[in-house]
Amino acid sequence: MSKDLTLDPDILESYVLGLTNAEDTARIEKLKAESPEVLREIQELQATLELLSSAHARNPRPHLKAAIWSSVQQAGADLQQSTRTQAQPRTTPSGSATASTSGSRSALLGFPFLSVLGISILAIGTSLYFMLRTSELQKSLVQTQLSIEQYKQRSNADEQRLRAIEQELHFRNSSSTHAIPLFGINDSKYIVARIYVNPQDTMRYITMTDAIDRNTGKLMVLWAQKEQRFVAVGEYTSATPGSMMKLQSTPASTEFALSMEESPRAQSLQASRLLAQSSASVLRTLQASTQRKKDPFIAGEPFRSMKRAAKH
Amino acid sequence: MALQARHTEEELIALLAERSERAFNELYEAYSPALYGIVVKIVHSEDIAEDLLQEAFVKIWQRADSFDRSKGSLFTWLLNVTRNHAIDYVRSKYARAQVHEAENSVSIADEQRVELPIDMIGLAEQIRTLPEDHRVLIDLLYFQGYTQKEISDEFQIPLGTIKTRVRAAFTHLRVLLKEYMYE
Repeated sequence: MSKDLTLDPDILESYVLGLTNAEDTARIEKLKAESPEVLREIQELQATLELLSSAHARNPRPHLKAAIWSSVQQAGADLQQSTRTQAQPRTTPSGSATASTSGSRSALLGFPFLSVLGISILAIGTSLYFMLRTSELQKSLVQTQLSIEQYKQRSNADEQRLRAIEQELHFRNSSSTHAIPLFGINDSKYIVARIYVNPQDTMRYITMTDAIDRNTGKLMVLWAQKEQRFVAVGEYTSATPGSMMKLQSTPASTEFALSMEESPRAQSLQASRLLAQSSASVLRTLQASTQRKKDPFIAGEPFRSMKRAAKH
Repeated sequence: MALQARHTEEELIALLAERSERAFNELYEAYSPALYGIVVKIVHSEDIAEDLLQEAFVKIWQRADSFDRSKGSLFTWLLNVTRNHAIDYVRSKYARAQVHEAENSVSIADEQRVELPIDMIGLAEQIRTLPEDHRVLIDLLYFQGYTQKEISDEFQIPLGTIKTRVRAAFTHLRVLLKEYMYE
């Protein structure tokens, strides 16, 4: 035995059991061809395994032989068919005619199948098209519904705004409503605004945007003018642009008097108290001014009057 | 080494090349008991063994051209094809459950269907005289398709020890079967 094989004493046993890798198998087969000793060793081991297998031999049931022969025949037929199919591309020109005839027959046999396949594909395609189309329409419908909802909401908002404007116009155009110019003084500047007061309405909200110094955002003193009379309507220290001032008419006053309720955005009640004090004071000033029958605006009196009223 | 050879191995090889019904008949008569027996031994079920033998014969028929006389006898080649097919089956995950179920009923079938040829009775008795550890090793290697490494891992025995024992078991078996070898 070769020196190589003595290094691994069970390698021939492994070889006959089919457990050697490709490299060892090649090495052993080479040795087997070269060495009669190795060949005999292997043959004896194989014979041993043949005997070992024979010791477990048993006769199969009689029906099995026919069944196996049937399977073997079928396998043989399949093998021949496979071989014939593989050989077909290499046929001679005369063989091509046969192949062509066979192909025509296949084409004829394949026609119904192709027709069914075509119809199926068409049906599936149509179904898919309508499914997609339906899906798109549903999406479009949902978008339209959303748009309608948005239009409704916008329309409601517009309607409310229009109604508010109408009410405001109605209020302003009413014969009972008085338009009162307002003068605001912030440092040396004065601001002109206008409020509308209707004595029949107990409460009214007036936008005071124009009465606010846009530079500082503050409104120190407000004066109301009715004909030639002035009324201080309030003093705010933290007016916000666009805020609403709630005014209340006081029917008990001789001419009119304004009192101001606390705005939700006002920071203290002081404005109301100041308004009440200023109203009484300015009312007296206005009465005196009326007696003089001078236009305080033209004569520059309002500024002096306003300053006096503010000091008072 | 066929059990009931009416033809020499050379004649059977020539017949196999024909792939005729006569060739099948001769091959089947000569080798089917041994092939069937080894499959039953591996799968422990006659029903499964019949299916596997059928498939093995189909393989043999299809691969007849690949038989190489220089690598061993026809019987060895047939045994290897059949044994590998059965071991592959047993090693497949699906089959393991089926074989496990069949193991409980095969002992009864074994008792009923042992039909060893008369000249093989002594052979089987000789094999039964093998020491237990040698018999188990040969059974694992030959009938269950284990490798030496797998046996080493399974039984927590060093691989070197397994290899030594395998060689000893084969040597012992060869001595026991020597008298049958050149009949």
